[in-house]
Amino acid sequence: MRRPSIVLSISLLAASVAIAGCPWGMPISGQTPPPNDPSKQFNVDNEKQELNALIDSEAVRPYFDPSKLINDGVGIFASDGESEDLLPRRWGRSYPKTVQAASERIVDQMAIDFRTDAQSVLTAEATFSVTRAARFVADFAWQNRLVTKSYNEAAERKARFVKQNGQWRLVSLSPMTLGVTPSGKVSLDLVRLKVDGAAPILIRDGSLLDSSQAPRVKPLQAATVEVHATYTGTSTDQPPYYLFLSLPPGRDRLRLHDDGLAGDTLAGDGLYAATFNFPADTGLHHMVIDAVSSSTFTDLGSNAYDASLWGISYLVQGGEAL
Amino acid sequence: MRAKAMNHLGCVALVAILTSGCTAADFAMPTGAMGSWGAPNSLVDSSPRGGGGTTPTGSTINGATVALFQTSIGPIAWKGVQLAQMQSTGTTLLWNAPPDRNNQALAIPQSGLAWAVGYGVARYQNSEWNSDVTDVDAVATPTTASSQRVLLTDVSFAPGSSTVGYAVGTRGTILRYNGVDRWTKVTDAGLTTENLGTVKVLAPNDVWVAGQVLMHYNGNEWTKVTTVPGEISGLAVVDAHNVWASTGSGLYQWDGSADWTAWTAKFVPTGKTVGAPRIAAFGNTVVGLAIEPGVPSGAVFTYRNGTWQTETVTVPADVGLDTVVLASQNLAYAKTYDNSGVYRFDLTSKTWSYYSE
Repeated sequence: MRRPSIVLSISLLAASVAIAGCPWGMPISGQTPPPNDPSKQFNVDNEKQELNALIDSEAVRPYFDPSKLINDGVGIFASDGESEDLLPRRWGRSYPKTVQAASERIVDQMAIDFRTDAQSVLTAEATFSVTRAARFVADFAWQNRLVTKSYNEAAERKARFVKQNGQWRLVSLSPMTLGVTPSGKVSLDLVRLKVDGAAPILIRDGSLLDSSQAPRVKPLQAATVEVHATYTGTSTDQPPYYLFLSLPPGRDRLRLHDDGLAGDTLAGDGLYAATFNFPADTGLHHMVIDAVSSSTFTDLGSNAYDASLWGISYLVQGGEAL
Repeated sequence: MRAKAMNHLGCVALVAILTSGCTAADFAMPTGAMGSWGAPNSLVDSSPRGGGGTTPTGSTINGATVALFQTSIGPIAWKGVQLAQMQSTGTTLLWNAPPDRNNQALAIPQSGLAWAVGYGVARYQNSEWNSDVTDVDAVATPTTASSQRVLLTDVSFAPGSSTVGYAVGTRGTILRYNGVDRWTKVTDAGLTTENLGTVKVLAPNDVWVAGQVLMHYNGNEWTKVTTVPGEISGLAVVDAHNVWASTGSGLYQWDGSADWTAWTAKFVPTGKTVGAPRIAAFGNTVVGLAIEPGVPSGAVFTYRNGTWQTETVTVPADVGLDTVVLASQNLAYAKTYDNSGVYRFDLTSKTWSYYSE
């Protein structure tokens, strides 16, 4: 089946594994390129077309497949049996059939800012975003039906490209962020990934992760993830939000704690943590960090859904299982 | 254990059919969709009211189904301002819908009288719905923030009675109907935070409530049952001495003795969890059906004559189902959670078919 056009298909920019790096998190710099002029080397329409072709290429396309990150069609559900505290035994996000049918049209907007540096290297910083209707679905062990809540989801990912030797290359990108629209009260602002034997990887809100620092792990390698979130509302629920880790396509969801145990270094410091093992299958994967307001789980009769999600790409490389 | 191994979930659907040998008096719901009521449209008057009223058998019902209710006269769909009865013939009859207060359950204790519960209780009587029937301290006022309000999840009346009724909900809420015009909060059960999802009333001195806790009321006191592990998603009553409970770890049965806590496991699936099971009694047969969301295929388990069988089934592709109701021991309906349609499941052939929007 023919793939859709690039602009319509771009959804999730994931870590490219074979691309030269630039300093992680460095803000885009340089000068605005000269106006379009066919007689010169820069033409914005041509550059966009080339970028689209790069993203749609066989080598890069798999990293952009939305189904591998946060959308498995009808939701991701934990399967850890009984409820924990007031949490459902499984829950996830789902997209109406009409959205699924149009799932190839993932990007609403693609904004690109072109710059050239002192060496005349052309850089493009792009922001991809989409808003779509979605549903929160929860399975509480004490009910004989599922709880559903409808909401609008805003997804965004930033990426940076450089053009060298006439070829565009993806050099860094941000986590895929999903939130509710209008803005919710809970948001993620820091993720620190500690993989055994490697330097910790720190990802802040809005930062771009250089491809050279994208997580590369071995099958089943152990790791710890630390997460910090912010809640700006007032809530009678304690805690006001929960944090989770999931590793699609695995359907389990691991809850993070701030109790000084199991990977958490200091109780009560606002950093929630959990230890886990990466999957055995080699290739590109995505870890999903969820911050979900408590009211999402306790206010069952309304459409109160407030959550923030980051999707972070990582690569499981071949080698002996640890 | 905190760090759990990531694994895949395989089970999609579980069907358990339990044939009981009990021959005691039938306290169960009517086995047919019509029950003893005669024509379903005798539930309410036939005059159209705000889009309600009745529609002749065989007519097409328009509008998305936003909820499905399991009632004593069979499954009922909430379609906008109308309630429609799901029937095996594919036809439905309409009644006025209750006010939209996130209704979770519907009880029809007698012809012309119905109760809907959600954020409060609404009564259908004399062709009108009336929401002013609940004590404010029981479920909070309608203007209270939804996060602070009690969501009532189930309502039940004793068989043949329109006065002995209970409702349950979140935050340990149990309401008792005074038999005249009001629902008041039960305070002697000792519950404060536990969410309840199911209530079965057999008599004034025989009431079961279940959810994050299982309790029985004998007319004088509430007894907490701790012999059923985990949380309970539903109860099915064959008769006063034959009660079943569905949990994430399987199905349990009360032995009918004088000991309210004498429950034993009857079916414990290995390696799989049971998602949102719906169980109901039809005569002496208990039927359990659970749909696992998000996975298009899985397994069905059936129990006939003391033997469990496992079969592979396919759930309609790309369809997520949030509610299942049982019309008979051989027929169920399920609603999609995007309200895009209702599907019918034949428990005998294990086949699904699209029923309506």
